[in-house]
Amino acid sequence: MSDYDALRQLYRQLPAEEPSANLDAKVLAAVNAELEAEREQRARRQRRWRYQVPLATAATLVLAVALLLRLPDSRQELLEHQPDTSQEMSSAYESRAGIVADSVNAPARPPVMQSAPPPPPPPVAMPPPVIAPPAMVAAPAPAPAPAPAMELAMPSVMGFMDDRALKQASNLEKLLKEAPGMAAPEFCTRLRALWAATEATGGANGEATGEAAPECPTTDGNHQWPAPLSMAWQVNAGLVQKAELRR
Amino acid sequence: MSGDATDEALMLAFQGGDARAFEQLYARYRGTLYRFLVRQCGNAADGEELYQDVWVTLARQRERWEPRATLKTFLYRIAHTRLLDHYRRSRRHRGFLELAEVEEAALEDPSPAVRAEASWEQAALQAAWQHCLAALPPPQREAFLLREESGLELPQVAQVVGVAIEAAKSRLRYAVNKLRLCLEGQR
Repeated sequence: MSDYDALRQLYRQLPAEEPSANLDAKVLAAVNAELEAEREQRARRQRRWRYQVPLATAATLVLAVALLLRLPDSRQELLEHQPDTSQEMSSAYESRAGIVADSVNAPARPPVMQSAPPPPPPPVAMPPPVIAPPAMVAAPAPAPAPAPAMELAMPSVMGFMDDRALKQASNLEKLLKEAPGMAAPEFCTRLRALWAATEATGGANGEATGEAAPECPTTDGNHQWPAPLSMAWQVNAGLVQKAELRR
Repeated sequence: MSGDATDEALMLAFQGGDARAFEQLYARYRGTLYRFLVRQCGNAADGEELYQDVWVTLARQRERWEPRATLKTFLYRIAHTRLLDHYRRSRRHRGFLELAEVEEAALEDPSPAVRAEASWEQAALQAAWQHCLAALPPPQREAFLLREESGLELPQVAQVVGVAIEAAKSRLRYAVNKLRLCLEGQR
């Protein structure tokens, strides 16, 4: 028998102590409490998931549906209010021309007007329908027509107009200002030149038609031109009485 | 679950929250684990505290057990970790008890098992073992007790204490030699 075996035999003679019944009970109680706590925690987690997920889904759906339903209303409201603003602004051309005129008259003015309110209509640029009441969006301040119109139109127009288009708009504005009292033939010459320029450049917003300039009557009476230079003018005694852009 | 179910089957059932499975596992290992801890600590109070702690830890960590490891190794690995924590807390290894104290304790306040059956010789033997085990460095004592109490093979002992098999074998050899010399000196 090796030393190790002898030692083991001796070790086996030691009394086999065991945990007391009290200690056994303590251990079993502690482990059961542990299991119970885990069970409770799991149940709590399940309860939370059971209510929170459907609740969050329902809230999301309600919000989405509300937004979808609200969107067309807002558009309609904006459209309904549009005539009021356009009365003051005359037309898109006028606005563009106004911007140019303004920028020509005040060259030192910074190109971006930070205090300008958001531009009217383009649907993409509409303010959030739920937050902004339509009256705030559509009704401008009771200021003289050209200035607010220019300010309103400027941010959206500036982004799209290149230098040539700006120049054309400037020339158009100039012609409109100078038209009263101008001889009808001269007015027609300048108008045709503007048409040709618009066709050559494609127009600020791609409004070129590819057509030659229409006939420009110089006789007394009311006359008008089609797009892209939707112009109306009145001739009396060979002189242009007034000229304006048609809507 | 039947009484001859394997440790692994019982542990799987326990992982599913079966308290009965735990009771069966507990009945299988209560004695050996208890003796291992009490003899490794050198006193019943610390051993019992650790004993309780090990079982609760097993319950908490049961999800981490995988069937490819034996339950016995898993259980004694927890015990080993708890022992290390215990040593760190106590700041020193409670290894050594004066022989006189041990003999006195054995004679004057023997455990119930000893009081019931043991003769004076048995009490003296127990005291000698207590003394000699306590005199061993804790790693050697642990290797010896793991081998003798839990019945783990050397590779498993190495796995439990986290050393190479050669190191475990070496610890065991030192422990056996020292115990033999110590016990001879006690006679």
